[in-house]
Amino acid sequence: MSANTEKTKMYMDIPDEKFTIIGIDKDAEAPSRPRVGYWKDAWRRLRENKVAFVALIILLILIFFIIFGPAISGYEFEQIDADAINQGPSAEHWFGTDDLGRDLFARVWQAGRVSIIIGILGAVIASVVGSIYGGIAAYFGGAVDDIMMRIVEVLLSIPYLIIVILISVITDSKSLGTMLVALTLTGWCGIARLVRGQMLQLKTQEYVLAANVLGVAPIKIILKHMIPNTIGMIIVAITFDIPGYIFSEAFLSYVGLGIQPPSTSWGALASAAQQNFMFYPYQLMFPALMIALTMLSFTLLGDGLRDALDPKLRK
Amino acid sequence: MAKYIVKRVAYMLVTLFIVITATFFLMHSIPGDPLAHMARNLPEETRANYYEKYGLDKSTPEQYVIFMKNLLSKGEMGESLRYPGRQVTDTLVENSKVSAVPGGMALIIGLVIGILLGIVAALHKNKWPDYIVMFIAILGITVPVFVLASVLQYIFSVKLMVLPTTGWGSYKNVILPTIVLSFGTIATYARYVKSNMLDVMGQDYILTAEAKGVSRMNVIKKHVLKNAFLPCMTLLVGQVSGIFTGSFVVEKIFGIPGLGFYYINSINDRDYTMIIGTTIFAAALFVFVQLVVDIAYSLMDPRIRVK
Amino acid sequence: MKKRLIAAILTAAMAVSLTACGGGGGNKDSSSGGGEQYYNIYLQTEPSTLDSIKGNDNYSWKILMNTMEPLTRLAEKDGEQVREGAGAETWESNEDGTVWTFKLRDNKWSDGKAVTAEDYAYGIRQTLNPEAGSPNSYFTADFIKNGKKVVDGEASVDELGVKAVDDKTLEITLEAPTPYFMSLTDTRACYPVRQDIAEQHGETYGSEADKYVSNGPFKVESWTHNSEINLVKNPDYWDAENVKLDKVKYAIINDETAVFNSFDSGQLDWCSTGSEEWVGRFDKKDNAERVDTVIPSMRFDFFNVKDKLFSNINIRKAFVLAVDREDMAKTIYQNMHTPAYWWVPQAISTGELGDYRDQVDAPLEKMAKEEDAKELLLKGMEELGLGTDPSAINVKYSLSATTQWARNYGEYVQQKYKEILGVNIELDFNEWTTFQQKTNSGEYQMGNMTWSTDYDDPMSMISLFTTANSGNIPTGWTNEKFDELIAKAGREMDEKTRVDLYHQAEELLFNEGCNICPLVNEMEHSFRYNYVKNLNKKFTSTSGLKYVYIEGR
Repeated sequence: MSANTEKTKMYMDIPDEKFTIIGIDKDAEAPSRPRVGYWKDAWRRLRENKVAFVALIILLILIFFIIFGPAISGYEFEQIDADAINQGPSAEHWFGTDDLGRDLFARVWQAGRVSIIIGILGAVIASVVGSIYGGIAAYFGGAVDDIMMRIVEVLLSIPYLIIVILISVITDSKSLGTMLVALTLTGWCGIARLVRGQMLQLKTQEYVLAANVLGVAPIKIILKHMIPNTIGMIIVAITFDIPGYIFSEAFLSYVGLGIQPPSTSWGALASAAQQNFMFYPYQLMFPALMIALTMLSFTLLGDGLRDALDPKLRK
Repeated sequence: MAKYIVKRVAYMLVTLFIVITATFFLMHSIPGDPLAHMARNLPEETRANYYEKYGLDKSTPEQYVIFMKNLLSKGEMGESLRYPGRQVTDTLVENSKVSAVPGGMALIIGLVIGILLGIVAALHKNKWPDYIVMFIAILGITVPVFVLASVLQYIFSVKLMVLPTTGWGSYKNVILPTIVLSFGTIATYARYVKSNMLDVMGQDYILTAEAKGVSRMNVIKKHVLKNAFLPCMTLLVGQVSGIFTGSFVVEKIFGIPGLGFYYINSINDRDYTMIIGTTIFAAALFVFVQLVVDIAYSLMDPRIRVK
Repeated sequence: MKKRLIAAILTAAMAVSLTACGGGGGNKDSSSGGGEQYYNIYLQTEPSTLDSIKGNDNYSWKILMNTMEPLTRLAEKDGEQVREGAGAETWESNEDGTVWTFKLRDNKWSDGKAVTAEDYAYGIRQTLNPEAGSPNSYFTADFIKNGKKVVDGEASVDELGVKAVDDKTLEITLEAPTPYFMSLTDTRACYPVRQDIAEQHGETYGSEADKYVSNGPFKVESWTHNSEINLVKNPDYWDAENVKLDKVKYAIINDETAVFNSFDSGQLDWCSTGSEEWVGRFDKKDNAERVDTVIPSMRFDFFNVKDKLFSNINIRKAFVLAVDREDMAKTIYQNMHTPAYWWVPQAISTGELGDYRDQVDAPLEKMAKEEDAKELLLKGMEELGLGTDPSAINVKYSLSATTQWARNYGEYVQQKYKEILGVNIELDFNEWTTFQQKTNSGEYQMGNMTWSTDYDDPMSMISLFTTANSGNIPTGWTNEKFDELIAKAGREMDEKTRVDLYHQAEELLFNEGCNICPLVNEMEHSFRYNYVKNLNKKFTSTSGLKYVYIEGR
């Protein structure tokens, strides 16, 4: 008790005039640089990446033509013209005509609608579903993981074509919607496995452990910590999947289960042109070129996005 | 570990059981007449005899029970409906052996080239080797396989006349299919390896190692590569089992008597015994490779512990 | 284009590095060895089985034709078809043409055993035995005595009108005189089968090269499923000295382009193509000959007369007449097939009188002059109370394939019906298995199919619409008068009267039935390298490769 009194006494000994009031420093808590949000920062970094930016522009151009191309061509994409069969590119038919005399310029862009929609929607649906599924499986681990992964194995093992046939029988159509359902029904499984693999690694990381100890809700940990840290892989997977879906649709067209005429897709155009490609290479070249451009752009854009979205690369 | 394996094998069997059951009922629910390859107007009596012989006269659940009994007690999957006198099991063995040749070679070539390209690209990120490598990797998969296959066939077999167009039996028959099949693998691995390596190279332990003064070569050898390859293992599962089940397009165009071609045709022909047989084969292979990979995964990555 | 160039260079580099270890290239298959008497050809699909009882596909037929010896063969001599004795040396019928006796030659099976009349009798019996499950019973069921009863399980196989009198004499008794019976003797339904071998292998008979015996010009040396079938000359064959080829290799190639590429590069000695472009390309080859053959085969639409819309004959006629066959042949078939205004195709002969189509006029040409498609449609719609607006009519058009070609074809049909009749066509693409099931159960409105003749007589095509046979092309249309005409023609021994009866039946089919809409008569455009000699040019010939030889390969 006496010691304390001693101390107080010592403070008392300092005269008041030694102190001055300096007021409150309002800026003390403010960041030294302007605050940049995660997405804003990502966008900034994406713009700095020239390759990715060019890819984005190419994609926008493609999308522009896909929307307006059929109208620009001045032909109906399904109009048959017996007098203009298999004509090479010309002033009248910019991309030439096919074996029924239909204008390929109109057809290629019309087909692009189907292909791009299948590609983007398919990949997005599959990635979202797959990431969440894989994330949940990895996060909970144990029995949950086991059961969820067995379900994926089952889905991946049932013959895919049987499922496609079944869906087109049930829905009695081979429309865009049917194709999407058929392609995504098992399409998400691959991403789920990939995400799970990555997340199993992340799970043991210290910051996840810390969040766990602090009592953060599992779903929040998955969304806030684990998904952002796997985003690189997911983005790569999506950009790979977009052409992947375009290709899957092409394969279905090749085996005759693709989209129903008069609708058409790049895959359907390419597989139609395959038989005669040495006689009419342009019939194969244009749809193949569009597929290649789309693929290339998405891949380069994906690489750019990967870097932009990686929280570890934030500066 | 032993306990883990036992548990996984048990799971495997459950998975297989579900796959067989689901496929069996699914394939019987899609329309189509398995005897359609015969005369259009098959006499009633003859048709009835066939239905009885193949058990098609019974309800699907009954057929399922009979099939499972034969499978479990005798390991029999029955006779093809489309090709009289051919046992499904024989066909599976024959055809998967064939598919595995170009498939296996393509996987090995694809893995080696793909991984090398991926490493080069990662180490020279955003410099010209990266761009070149990625361009090559993407190039091979920008055109659908059926386009690539027919273009290559045209160049090498028709124009240059150095390779046979179709057929099976000579090493020359394997070259083009292998090339076509390996493109996809190269692209896949190049991109994943690059992406994974970049991920790993940003990790703190790499930074620590570098800070400690470990040489760059050693950091890459000791830490980066191993950790970067692990996620690729997941990919490998599908591809390893895929080499036995083959590729429909490549086998069709190059006339290879493999399983991929047979499989798609059996579905088109509604050759029920063949469909279910191939499904069992593919699924069993798939879950088995999956198991092997999971075990390898846990042995290689100390952070994932088998519980 | 540039990208593909780079891809080509890259792959070239890879290929070179791969071939480097295996020695030079060269595409000529040297394994054939022993001179130039080898012949490389292809099958588009794997044969189902070499069991002549169970197989029904064209692919196994080609192998059977060369490895088995039918009773007779239709061979080509100086461009004309001649029926010559094969397994049978001579044959004769009794006076009313109901009992046929075949005297067999001395011939041997590839395992050395002698060929007996019982081998033929067994084959004929098993084809009709429902227990054996043969899809080929329709060939002979209506003709051989008790055939129908045996197939339907109403009579035992022993009661069938087939008998081996002794080792070298086969006797076949018919239900009634059948003028064209001889043209059935080289079909699969009359092929010989060795009972002991068939029973020894049971289900697996004919499924592998070593589970099969031959008695024809060639025997099966090896069969790699889905890949190739190798035939070699059969030294035990009775006429072996006239068989020149030592080896025949059938490559099984599914992909059309691959077939054409293979022929183009000389890996195949013969190929057939329906593509104008390929015909043009092969035409430029100096060392290959083009042969165009009319095939007795029809591509046609058929209507389900049980369907509400197509129950009306005027509607059916409208759909039949609306087709511009010339335009279709040009646009869709690139003039590779002939527009067809008839049901019985060209290239079917009636005995001594020659091609049936040359003797009678085309029923649809006449009809087209008298009636107008659009008027018929409106008339039919009125009768059905469907109003006057064709665009309110929706028709489901079922196709039996899902290929690119089928898609194109479908789109063409869709457009044309819209243009000409103003009706809407909904396309329904099916795999063959599903198409078969749908049409057989009547779940269709309008279908598209191809039908080829089974034997060389108009009967083969025209009898498809009798009440008894109506399951073949399941339109649901039957007509008593038509049945009578066909029955009468089947017994008529006078060729001229028979042709007349066929003609009446065909007219009736279009005037009162019109349940089918013929589109094109098929043609085959084939190419053979000049070193291939003596290869048949007619589609219906059944001598196979027996007389083919190679000179100057």
